[in-house]
Amino acid sequence: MSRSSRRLLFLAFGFPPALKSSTYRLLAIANGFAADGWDVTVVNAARPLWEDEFGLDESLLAVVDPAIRIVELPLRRADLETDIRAFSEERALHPGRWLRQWREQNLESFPEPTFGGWRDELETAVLALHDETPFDLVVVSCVPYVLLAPALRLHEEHGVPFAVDFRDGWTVDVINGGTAVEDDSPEAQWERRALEAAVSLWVVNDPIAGHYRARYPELADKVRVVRNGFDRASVPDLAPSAATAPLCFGYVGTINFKPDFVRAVLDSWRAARESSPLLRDARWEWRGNLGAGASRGSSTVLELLLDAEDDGVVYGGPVPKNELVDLYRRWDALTFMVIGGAFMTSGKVYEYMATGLPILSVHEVEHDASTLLEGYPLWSGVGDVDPGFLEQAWARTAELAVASTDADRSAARAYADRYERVGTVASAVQALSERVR
Amino acid sequence: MTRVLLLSSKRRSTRLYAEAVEELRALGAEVRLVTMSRTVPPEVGLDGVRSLWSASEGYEPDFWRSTAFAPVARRMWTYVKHDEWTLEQARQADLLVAVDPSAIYAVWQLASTNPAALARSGVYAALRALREGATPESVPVPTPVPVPVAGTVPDQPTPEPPRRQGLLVSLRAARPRRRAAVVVPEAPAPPEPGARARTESARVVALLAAGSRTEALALQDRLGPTFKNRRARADFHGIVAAYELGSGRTPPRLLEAARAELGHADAQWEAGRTKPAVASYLQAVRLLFYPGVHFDSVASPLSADPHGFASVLADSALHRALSVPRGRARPAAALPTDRGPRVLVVVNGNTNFVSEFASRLHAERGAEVRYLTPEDLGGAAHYVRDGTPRLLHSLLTDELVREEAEEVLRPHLDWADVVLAEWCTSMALFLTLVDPGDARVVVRLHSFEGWTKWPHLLDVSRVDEVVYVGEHLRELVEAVVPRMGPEDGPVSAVANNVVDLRRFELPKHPDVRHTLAMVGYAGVAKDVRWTLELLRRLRAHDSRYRLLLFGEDLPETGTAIYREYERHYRSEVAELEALGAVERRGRTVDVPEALREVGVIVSSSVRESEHMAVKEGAASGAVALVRDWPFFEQQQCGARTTYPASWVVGSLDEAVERVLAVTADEQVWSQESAVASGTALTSWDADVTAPHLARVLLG
Repeated sequence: MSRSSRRLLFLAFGFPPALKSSTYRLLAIANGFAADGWDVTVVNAARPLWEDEFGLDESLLAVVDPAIRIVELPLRRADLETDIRAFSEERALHPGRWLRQWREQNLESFPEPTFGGWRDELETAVLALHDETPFDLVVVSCVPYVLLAPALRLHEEHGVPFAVDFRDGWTVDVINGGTAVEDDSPEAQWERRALEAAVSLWVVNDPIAGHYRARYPELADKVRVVRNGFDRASVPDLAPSAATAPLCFGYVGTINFKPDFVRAVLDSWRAARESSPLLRDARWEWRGNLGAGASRGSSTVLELLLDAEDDGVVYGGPVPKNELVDLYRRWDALTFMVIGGAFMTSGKVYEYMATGLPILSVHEVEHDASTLLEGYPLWSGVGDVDPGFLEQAWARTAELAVASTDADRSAARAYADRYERVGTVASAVQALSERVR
Repeated sequence: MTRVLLLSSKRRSTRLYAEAVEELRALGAEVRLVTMSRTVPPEVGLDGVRSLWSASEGYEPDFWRSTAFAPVARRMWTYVKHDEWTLEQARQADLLVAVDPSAIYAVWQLASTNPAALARSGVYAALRALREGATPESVPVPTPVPVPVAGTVPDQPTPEPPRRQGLLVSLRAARPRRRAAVVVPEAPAPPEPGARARTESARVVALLAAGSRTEALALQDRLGPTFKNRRARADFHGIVAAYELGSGRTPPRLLEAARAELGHADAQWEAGRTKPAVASYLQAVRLLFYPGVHFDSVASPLSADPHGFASVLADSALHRALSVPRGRARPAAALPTDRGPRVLVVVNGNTNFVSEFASRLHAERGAEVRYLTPEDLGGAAHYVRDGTPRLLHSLLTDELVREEAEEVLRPHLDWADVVLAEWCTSMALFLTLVDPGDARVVVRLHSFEGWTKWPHLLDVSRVDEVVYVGEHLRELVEAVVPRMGPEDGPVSAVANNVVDLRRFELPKHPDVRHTLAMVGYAGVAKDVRWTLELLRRLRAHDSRYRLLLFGEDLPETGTAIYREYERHYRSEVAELEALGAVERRGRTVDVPEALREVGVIVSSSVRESEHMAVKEGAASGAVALVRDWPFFEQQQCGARTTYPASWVVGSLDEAVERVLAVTADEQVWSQESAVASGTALTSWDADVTAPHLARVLLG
C-alpha cells in the first residue's frame, strides 16, 4: 500500500466551522495528517448543532486543507433547543427535571449524559463510511467520549486501528484534580476498553499523561503529550511597542466562569482603577463565547459585564480566528483567566505568550499554565483570585505595558516560539503514522 | 412591525435589557416586557412594560394562598393569566420570548393561544429567529389543560366582545377581579359563607370606591364579627384590605385582616391541612408586614401599635407552633486564650456595615473572620432565598430542614467561637434551626428587620445576645416581639456601626453654609419630600438656599402606595430644579469629596437606625439637621437619644428655625460646623465604636 493512499477517519466534533475552544487543535491535527500525505475524512456534527451551541467561525474553513473531506452528521442536542413550541408541558414547567431525565436516557446508550444518545447514529454512520471506502486509521478526539464507541466497533468488527486524542482525559478531574469517576463505573470500563485497544493516547500536558501512565502502567508507552500551541497566523508579526495610557487590557477565550469568579475579578479591576493612576481610564475588553443555547445573550455573567460598562469594561462577543491579530495589535496587556488547577493548561496561554504582551493571571497557583508562564518575562505572577493580590497585579501589569523595553517584549516572544502548534502536531502525526505503518 | 413580548421571572440588569431591546429594534421589532420583578428597567427603549408584581397588589387572599407553594414557573403563569394587559399583548405578539428558564412555562402557555407567534427561550434565540425570518412550526404546542383557579371569584356577567374560543378566553371567566365591583349589590347575601364574604366585602369596597370611608369602615366593623366561618371572615377582611393596598392606601383594618387570616390558618392547622395552613399564615404575615405599608409610607401602623402587632401573632396557635423555642444543650464556651477568636459572620449578602469592623477585628484582636452566605449553603440555599413556605412547612412536619441545616452548618459552627448573624433575616433564622454547640451566637438587628416577620420566627433561645444599632430599635423590637424583651429574651446591647469617619475630615469649599444635602434618598423612609418642603420654606427667607441630592434617584416602580409618593416627588423636585434650587448628583463614589460643598446635612427620615449619612456629614463639618424620626416619636428613644438634642427638630417650623439660626452668618456656621465635626469624630468614629462592638461580640 502506498503512503498516499492511506485513509484516515478523524472523528472531530467541533471541527470548523464550529467555534469552540477545541476547534483550533482539531484543525491543526487534520491539516497535519493531510500534510503528512493522508487522505483525510473528518466527521463532524452539522452546523445547526454548533449554531445552537456557541456559533460558527466561517473564516476557519479557509485554512482547512482543501484535500480534506468533511462529513457532517445531522445530530442535534435537545437540551440546546430554544423553540418553546417543541417543548412538552413537562419540559416547559420543570426544565431541570426534564434535563435530568434526558441525561439519564442518554446514559442508557453510553455513559456520557449529554452525548450518549448519539451512539447508534454515530456507529451507523461510521460503519457506512467505512463500507464506502475502507479506512486505515481512525483518530478520535474527545470530547465527546461517545465517539469512542464507533471507533471501537470499527476496530472490533473490521480491525481498523485507532488512536485517541483525549485532550483533557476522561477519568481525570481536570478541574479539581484526582480521579473523576469510580473505578468500576461504566466510564472507567469504557475508557479501559478503548485505551487497551488504541494504538496511541494523546493528552495535552504532563500531569494528565502522568495520570494515565499511573492508571494504566501496562499502556504507559502509548501515552504521548501533544501540547496545544499557538498558530503563527493568529499573532502579530512584530513585537508590540511600549503602551501609553489609557491602556487597553484584553481577554479572549471561552467565558465559562462562574458569576462569583467574574464578580471577584471585576471588583479587583475596579479597586485597581481607583488606586492606580495608570489604570484610571483603562479599558478591559472581553471577547469570546458566553453561554450556549438559551443562556446565550441572557446569562448572569453577561449581566455582570454589561453592568461594568461604567468601569471601562466592554464585552464584544466571539471573535473569528482571522481577526485575532487585529485584536492583539490594539491591546496593551492580556488577562489570562482559566478554571482548573494542576491538570489544566488551556490552549490560550500559548497564543497569549506568543504576542509578547504583558500577561495578568487569574487562576489557581498550582496550575499547569503557571509552569509555562513561570519563564515568561512579562508575567505579573499568580495569586488565585485573592483581591489584594489582584489589585497589585493589575498595577504591575500596567507598569509592564508602559515600561517594558523592546528587548523585553522580543524576549517574551522568543520564549513562546517553542510552543508553535504546527511543529508539535507534525511530530505527533509523524510518530503515529510510523506506529501504524 | 414585528411585535416582541419578553417575559422574565426575575429582576435583570437594565443594561441587559437595553442591549436586547436595541438589537431587537434594529431588526424592526416593537419590544414589550413583562416581568415578575417589582422594579422595571427605565428608559431602555421598550414600547411597553408591565410589572406583574405591581399588577398583583390588589389580588384577593386566595390568589396568595394558592401561589405560596407553587414553583416559580407555575407561579409566574398564574400571575400572567390573571393580568389582562399581558394576555392582550401576548395575543398580539409575533414573537414570545422567555428571558430566563422560569419564564418558559408562561410562554409555552401563551403560545398555545397564539399559534401565529414564534416562541423562543433566550434573547439570542429570539434575535436569531428574527434574523432568519423563522415561522412557527406547523404543529402547535399541545393544548394545555386549563388550570382552574381555586376559590377565585367569577366575574360579574359583563358584556364581552365575541372572541375565539381558547384557553385564555376560558381563563378570563375565572380571573379574580383586582378591584371588586363599585356598585353595591342589591341581591340578598347567599347562604354559602364564601359567597357571602364576597358579597359583603363588595359592599364595603363600593363605599370605599365612592369615597365614603367612614361609612365603609363602620360597615366593615359591623359585618366582620358576623362571620363565624373563619375562612369567610379572612376573605371578607382580606378582600377589603386588597382593595385598599391596590389603591395605594394602608388599610385601616389591616390588623383585623391579618387576625382573620391567622384564624383561617389556625383552622387549617387544627384540621391537619398543614400546607394550606402555612400558605394562609404567609398571607397573614404578608398583610402584617406589607412593604408598601411600612417601607413606602411616612407612617407605620406597626410603630403606632407594636403591642397590637405582637398580640395578633401571639394569639395564633400556628405561629406559636412555628416559633417554639428549642434551646441549646450547653452554654457557649469561653473564648480561647491561646489564639485569636474565630468569628463566623452569617450574612445574606449585604456586608456594607460589617466589613470595616471585620478588618479591625482581625487587625486589633487577632480574630480569624469567615463569612457564610447563601452561596455556601449548597442545595439548602433556597430556604433562605424564596423557600420560606417550604421551610415553615418542614418545621411543622418532617423537620428535614433542620437536618439539612445541621449538615451544612455544623462544620462552620464547630469551627467558630463566635457567630455573628449580620441582619436579623432569613439567614439568622436558618442559623437558629440548629443547636449552636459551644459557639456564642450574636444577632445584629439594624433597622428594617423590625418591620418584617423574621424576628418573630427567630429562635431566640439559641441566641446569646442581640445587638441593636440604636436604642430606639431595641425599644421598638422588644415591644413588637416580646420574647426578645428583657424578661424572656436573650441579653441585648446597643452598638453603632463601625465606620471610619476620619476620611470625611476635609476642608470645606468657600460659601457652603446655604447648601443643604441628603446623601441617599431613594427610599420613602428618607422622606425627601419633607426636605423639599423645608427648602421651599427656607428659600422664602433667602433664595441662596439650595439642596444637593446624592445617590440613586427614587425608582420609577414600586407598590401603589409608593407610586403615590413618587408621583408627588417628581413634580415637586422638577419645580425646584427648574429654579436651580435642587441638583440631583446621582451615585457618588467619593462621598468625602462631595461633602466638601455641603453646609447642612439633613436627615428627614421617618425611620433610621442611626443614619450614617448624618454622622458622615457632621464629620465633614456640615451642620446636622435631624428630623425627630416619626416612626419612633412616641417612644422614649429615637432621634433625640441618638443625636445631641439641639440637632433634632420636631417639625418643619423648628427645622426652618434651626437652619436659619446655624447659617445666620459665616462665623456662626463655622462654630456650629466645628462642633458637629468634633462631636461626630469623638463619639461615632470607628476608633470609638469598633472596640465597643468588639467587646459586645466577644463577650
